[in-house]
Order: sequence, then C-alpha cells, then structure tokens
Amino acid sequence: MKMETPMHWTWRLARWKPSALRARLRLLAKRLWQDRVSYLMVAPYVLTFVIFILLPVLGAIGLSFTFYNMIEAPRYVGLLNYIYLFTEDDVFMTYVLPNTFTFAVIVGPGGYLLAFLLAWLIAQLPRRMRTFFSLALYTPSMAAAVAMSTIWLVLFSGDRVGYLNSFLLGLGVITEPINWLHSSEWLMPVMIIVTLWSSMGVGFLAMLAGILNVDPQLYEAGKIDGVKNRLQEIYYITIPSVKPQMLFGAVMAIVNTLQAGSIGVTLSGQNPTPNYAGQLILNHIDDFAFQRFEMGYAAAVSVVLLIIVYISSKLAWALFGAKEGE
Amino acid sequence: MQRLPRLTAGLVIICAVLIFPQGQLYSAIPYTSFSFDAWGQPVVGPAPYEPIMLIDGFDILQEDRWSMTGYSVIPLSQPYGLAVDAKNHLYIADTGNNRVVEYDAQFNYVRVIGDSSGPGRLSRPQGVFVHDDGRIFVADTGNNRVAVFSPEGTYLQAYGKPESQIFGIDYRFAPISVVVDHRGTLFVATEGGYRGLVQLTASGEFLGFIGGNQAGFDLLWMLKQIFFTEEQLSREARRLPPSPSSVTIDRQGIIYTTTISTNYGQIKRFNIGGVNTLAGRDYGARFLRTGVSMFSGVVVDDKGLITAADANTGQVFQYTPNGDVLFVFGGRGIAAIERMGVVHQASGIAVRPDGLLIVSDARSNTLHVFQPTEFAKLVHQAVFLFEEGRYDESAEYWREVLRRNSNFDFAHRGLGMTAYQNERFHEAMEHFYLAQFADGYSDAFWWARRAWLLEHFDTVIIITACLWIGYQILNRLFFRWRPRRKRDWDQVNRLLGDLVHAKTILVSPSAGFYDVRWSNKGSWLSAVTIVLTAFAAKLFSLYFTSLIFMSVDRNRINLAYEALTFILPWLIWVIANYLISALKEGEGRFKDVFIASSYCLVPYILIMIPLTIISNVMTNYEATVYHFFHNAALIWCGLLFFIMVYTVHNYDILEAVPNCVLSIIMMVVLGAIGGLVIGMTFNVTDFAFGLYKEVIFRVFR
Repeated sequence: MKMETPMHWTWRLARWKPSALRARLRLLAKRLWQDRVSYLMVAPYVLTFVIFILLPVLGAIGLSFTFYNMIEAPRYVGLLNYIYLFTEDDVFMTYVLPNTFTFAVIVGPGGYLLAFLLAWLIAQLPRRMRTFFSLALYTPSMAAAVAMSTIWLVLFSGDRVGYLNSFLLGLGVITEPINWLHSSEWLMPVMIIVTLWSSMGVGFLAMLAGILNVDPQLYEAGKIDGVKNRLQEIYYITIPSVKPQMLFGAVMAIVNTLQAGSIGVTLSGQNPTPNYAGQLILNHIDDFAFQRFEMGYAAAVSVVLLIIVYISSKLAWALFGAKEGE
Repeated sequence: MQRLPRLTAGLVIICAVLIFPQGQLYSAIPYTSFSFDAWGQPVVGPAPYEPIMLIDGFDILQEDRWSMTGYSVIPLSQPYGLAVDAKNHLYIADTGNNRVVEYDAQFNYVRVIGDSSGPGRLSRPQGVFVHDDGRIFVADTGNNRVAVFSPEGTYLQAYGKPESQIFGIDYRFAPISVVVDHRGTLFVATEGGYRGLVQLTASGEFLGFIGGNQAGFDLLWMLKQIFFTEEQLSREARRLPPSPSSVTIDRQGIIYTTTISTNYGQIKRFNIGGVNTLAGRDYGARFLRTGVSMFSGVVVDDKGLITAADANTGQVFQYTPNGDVLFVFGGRGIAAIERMGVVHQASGIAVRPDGLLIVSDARSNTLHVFQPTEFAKLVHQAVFLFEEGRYDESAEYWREVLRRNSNFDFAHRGLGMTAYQNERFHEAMEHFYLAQFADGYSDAFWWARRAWLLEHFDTVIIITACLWIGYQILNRLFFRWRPRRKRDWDQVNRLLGDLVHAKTILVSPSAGFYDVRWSNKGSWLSAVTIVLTAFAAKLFSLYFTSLIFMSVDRNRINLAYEALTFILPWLIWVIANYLISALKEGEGRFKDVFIASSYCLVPYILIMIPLTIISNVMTNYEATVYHFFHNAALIWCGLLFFIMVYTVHNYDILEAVPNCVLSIIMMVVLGAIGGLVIGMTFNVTDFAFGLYKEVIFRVFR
C-alpha cells in the first residue's frame, strides 16, 4: 500500500483546475471514440433501459415534487407531498406503513427460508420427480389469481360452511364462524399465509438451479474431510456454493414482498381493504393514483417505496453479498 | 413510607378522642378500601362508602296465634335477593323464613308478603323484583316458580316451568333471581341453569334462553372427543358452562348477569340480541384472596355504575359503565360477629336512587346499609359526566377527586381523556403517563408527534439530506484513499481487545468462539464486564422504554429481583452447560464456557439500548417494529448460545442439540436444588436464631 503524503492531496485538488479539466475531457472523448464499437454493442440495452426504466423513475421523482391531476399541467409544490405523507396522511402512518412492515418482516424472511428449504429438499429427489415437484411448487406464483378463488376463498369462507370455519366449529375451538377475509384482525394473517404459499417464485427457481449446480465432488471431498451429516453439508458446502443465487433470491423476496399489493384486495374483494387491515404501500399508491388521480402524491409514495426497497436490498447485499477476500 | 398512613391514622384517632370526649366516638370504617392502578395492583384509598346502618329484622312483628300477644318477632334469616321500588321501599327475599319483607325508605318495617297459607305461600324465595307498576315478582326457588303479588301484597299468579319442547323435560326450573322489563318479559336466573336466563313472556310463554355462558375451549376435552368411544365419553363428567347466579336490569331495560365459579367475564351486560357488551375480562378474582370470584348480586344505578357483591369475601366491587374497576371495599371480619359494615357472606345487593347501597348478609342474617362518601360522589359524578361526553365539566370533578386522593389513577385517566378530546395532547400524555394508561398515551403521543413533524418535517429532511450529501462528499474527497489500518486493540489494552472481539463473534460466530476456546481470546474480566453491561442494558430498557412498550411497572422495579432473574439464570446456564458437556466429551473448559456465554449476550446489548431509545418516539402503530427487533435480539442471542455450544465443545451440530436440551434441564434441576437449599438454610438459621432468642429469654430473664 502506497503511503499518502500531503503531496498527493495537492495533486488531487489540482485535478479540478480548469486547464487540467479540459485536458481530461479531451482524453475522455478520445477514449470514447476508440471504443465506439463496444458502445454500439451496449446501445440497445442502454437505450431500452433509459427509456423504459431510468426515465420513468426520474419522471416519478420529478412528479413527486409537483401537484398533478392528469388534467392540468403539473404544478411545483416542493416537499409538500412528502411532508403531507409523513404528517397528514393518517392512513399511511397508522395502517399502511405498519401493515407493510408486518407483512414484509414475516413474508420476506419466511418465504425466503421456505424457498431455500424446499429447493434443497427437491434437489434431493430423483430427476423426474424433481421436475414435477418444482413445477408444482412454482405454479402458485404464476397462477395465484386462479388458485386464490378456487382454494383460498373457499377455505377461508366467512360463513359456517367454509372449510376452515366448519373444521374449527366441529372441534369446538370457535363457537361462531369467523369472517376471515373481512375482519380487520384476520385479514393480515390470511394474506401472510397465502403469500407464503405462493412465494416459490423466481428466487426459488434460481436457488434450485444453484443447488443442483453444486459440484458433487465438493460433497465427496467434504465427506472425506469429516462431514458427518446433511446439516453440516448444507452449512459448510451448499450455502457457500449457492451464495450468489441466495442473494438473488433475497433481493427478489424483498422486492416481491414490498411490491405485493393485490393480495389483500383480491382476498377481501375490495379496495381499500376492510378497515385498512390489509392495506399495503402499493394499494395506497393505487388508491391515490387511479382513484383520486393525485399523481404527484402517488409518485411521492412510490419514491418512498423505492427508497425502502433500495435500503432493504443494501441490507441483503450486506448479509449475503460476496465480500472482498471471500 | 409504610409508617406514614399508620401514623396519620393514629393521629386521627387521638384527635377524635380529644374532640369527642363524651364517648361519642365515631367508629372507624371496619374495612380497607382500594382502587387499582393500571398494573392491576391495589392502591389503598379513602373509603368510597361508609356503613350507616345494620338491619337485623328484630322489628318484624308477625301474627302468631300461639304467642301470648298474638304477635311474635321473627328476625331475618338468610336474606338473599333485594329490590328497591319507586318509593324507595326495600324488599328482602327472606329465604330462611319463606317470606318477603318490605321496609320503608327510612328502613322501618312495613309488612310481610307470602307467608300466609294458600297458593301464595313461598318456599325459600331467593330473589325479588318490583316492577314499575308495583307488582312484586318473587323467585320462589323452593316451589320452582316465579310468584307474582299485587302491590297490595295479594297473590296474583305464578310462572311455573315452561312446557315448551325446547325448554327440555329434564332441565330444572328453580328460579333464584328474576327481573321483568317494561314489556312484561321475565328474565329468570335458575339454579344450575347452564343454558342461561330463561326468557318468558308476560303470559308465561317460553321465549328462549338468553345470555348463556360458554364452556370454553378445552384441549383435553377435544382430544377425548376424538379418541374416546361413545361409552367412554358417556362416563366422563359432563362439561357444563357456568350458570348465571343473578340478574338485574337497568333503567334502559338492559340485562346484567353475574356468573359464579369462573374467573373470566363474571359480569355480563346483554343487549337485546343477547350479545355481551362488556369486555370479557377478569372482574374480580385477581383482587380476591380466595382466588375464585363468587358474585352473588349485581346492581346498576341511574348513572350506569355497576356494583357487584362477592359472596366469598363480602367485598363490594364498583365499576364504571365500561366495566373498569373504580373501588373495592368491604369484606368480612375474622369471626362471624355482627358489626356494621362487616359483611360475611354477601348474598344480595340493592342500590337506591339516592346512592345508598344495601348489601344482604346470609350468614349473619343482617342487611348492611352503606352511604357514599363525598369522595365517591365526586368520582361518580365525574364518571357520569365523562360517559355523557361532557369532558370539560367532568375535568373539574376529576381534579377535586385528585385533591382528595392523589393516588386515584382513574382520575388521571379521565383528565387525560378530557385533554385528549380537547386536543391538548401534551397535557393528555402527562395524565396518561401518571395513570400508566399505555393505549391512551400512545394515541396522545401519536398526535403530539404528528404536530411536531408537521412543524419540523421539512427542516429534518433538509438537514438529513445535507448531512448525507456532505458525508458522501467528504468521504469521496478525503477519507477514501486513506489506508485503513487495522488497529490491533489487543496491543492497546487486553480488556479492550477482548471486548472488541465481540465484533468477530457477531460477524462470524463460529470463528469467534473458536478463538475463545483455542486462541485464548476473552478473559474473566471481559466476560464479567459484558454480563454486567447486558444487565445494565436490561435495566436501561426497563427504566427508559416508552410507557407504550413497558412490561413492568417502573416504580415497582426491584434491582435485586431483576439481577436475580437475569444474572443468576445465566450463571446457572454456564454451570449446567459445563457439567453436561464435561460428561459428554465436550472440550470446553469452565472458563471457555463462561467467556463464550458472556459473548452470547452482546446482541442483546447492541439491540436493546438503541431500541429503548427509539421506543420513545414510537407509538402502538409501530409496535410491530419494536417487537420485531426485541424478538430478533432474543433469537440472535439464542442462536449464539447454540453456536457457542458446538464450537467451544467441538461438537457437530446434531450433538449440540441434545446437549443444549440437557443443559436446560440441568438448569431447572440446579435451580430447584438451589431453591431447596436456600429454603432449608433459611429455615435452619431461623430455627437457630429462634432457639438463641429463647435461651437468652429463659436464662437471662
């Protein structure tokens, strides 16, 4: 490691002198031109990314500082939307944020662990069974809406003949049917259960692929080195090997849980959900954007969501990301 | 602290003696009265009611052919149910004498009902009720009917056992308490009536049961139902829900019941649909020495205040219309001596519009009349105004209440609510804090916080943004290129190095604990430091967590007790784990287990201290966040303990599980032995000391 001396500091500050800057810019342009073919190669991706992702995000951030109702031109209002969000919007502070947190805290890690566990279990199966089971587990995340009405709505039906009510009444645990989907205390647990059930999505597939890709020689080597049981195998070999996939799964889990919004509305059949019991951030955005047409405010909520997702992803990186030297 | 009230009492008595030297000494009230703080602890306060009269019925003259005068005195015998009519006359179901006695408003004997032979003759009547039109309904228990008498006392009719199929042929109909609403519908509580109150129309038609209790869910019973055969099931005792023991009706025609032999939802208030509108909670048992509440009567006055009497202890409980306990007073004495205000077996209760409470006592065959004190009147008025929504008016009364008894938390609650309704949230917070009323405090704080944010939010955001940007710029410009030299804390100071080792434990526990065992990381000193810091963190969280998340009463925290429940279990764990592991080929030495176990507490310190601070800006709405981090701290510590076991003792994971389980069992055993030894030692020393004193007393007298 080179030692820092005061000389270096002066040099670094010198870089900001106008003359030096001009020289550096010229150098940059020259190098850009040299690599023009490479830039051409990445252009399709960069262009689509900019048009379809970067610009909308920037647009949303821009809109979040305005009042915009889709009819008049946006009017700049400064931080007012954000101030309103954290101070005046009682629904957001008393229902939406706590709900989202409860939901994310349980569904995120829970679904993630479940995905890993099931992926590992499926990886132990013989090939043909494996395909079948992974397809079966992946289906809920694709066909959630259909399955919802055929399975969960019947299971959690609020009357006496709903499966769960009927079962519990028969056991004598409850004395009158519980309206699972429309009571403010039960909607959230039901949402969590259903989401956990359908959480075997892309992250699950990635982890499955990762686990299947672990070199069998590693396990053999481990056995020779004294691995005695499966738990140790998982801990010492599988997890370190599939770390990249696990990171991907974690980020997907976070994004999915924070962006889940339709579940409460689908289950209860109404937006806003009864007593705001299942109101998540996305429902809130939806509510303001497409029912009240307060686009500027909805954009502000989206930006807050973006920031939350960003921070949580950072957290996931810190936990699962490969560290230097590893 | 303890001595002051006693001293005051002494002074009061002395003053009383000085002031009334002619023997006109006012007797002290023969019971302690208390209210409850938010933690359910009794707080002794001024008496809400004072006894003013004892009625034994020695003025009841009944016609008696065999007596020389033609009359004889038949005093009360086992008085049960009581009722007050529109003229303030008192009716007593005098069970032991098979009659109903009427007293006038000044408690002078008026007449006797139902003692003459004929169809109107009563047999062990336990309940009485006077309808608005003056008719007298008597729950004629012995005759299995409800007998009705005209206002003049002549027998009119009887309601016998309903002949409806639904009622059931085997179901007993022995009324013990009856009320009639303004439509003439009867609500009858029967002996062993587990199905609830019997509801009869004025013409005697059976309408159905109302207000039955539920047997509740019982896992054992459920399993029995699944696994037992029909025959086995039929041999089991039937699980019947507890039956209502008395019934009363308020001016709006709402039915209240009491239930005995349950400690949950003893008092119920039923709306027209038969739905209980009082919160299902414990209304008395936890305040009693006996442990099981036996409410034998309940009354509701014009202000909606609910008053109930407990048969076991003779205590009278008074609640707000919402079912919050206001006062508990009364109670039985040591021997069954008749004394004004000492109720041995409260068997019935009545309230008069002027506030007088009459409690019947079936054991000493008397009635006790209680009169509300000024203090109670203030409280009643305050509660009444508050329930009416006249907050500002009620506030004056609450303040007056507090002037007389500053320990009366309920008043602070009322004042807090008043301030809250008037949007003075800081004041509300103060009052709710004094009343330790967490939910109210949370709501008030939410509004106060909102107001603060409204005012300062933009400043906060801008400052945060500036700080962040500034940090980034500074970081880019100056700090990035400075080489990060890992400072070797061990070189600086051994203790400091050991403490910094906690970081390794948190980041990669296995490696960290490995170093504890084989690289001599950590020392006795560092271990003790960490444990004491963890204990300090616990104390910090106990004292400084927001009221909303507090689990114990801050004023009742006992340092010794907290230390005993925190450090001692940890120490026992270390010993237990060492002993078990020594047997099971663990490689850890005692010192290693001690040091490694101390490191396991680090997450607790790291999470609890910030969490405690942050909890002070959180409300109930963010409770999930609080509980998440709280549980995360505990789970993290638990995981560290587990990793510690298998690293320090060089087990593999599957060996570590039984080791942990065994260690925990060992902890329990050690705890039990320790308790036994301490108890025995205490007894022995006590005995020795007693002997010593005895000898000293005998020899050197």
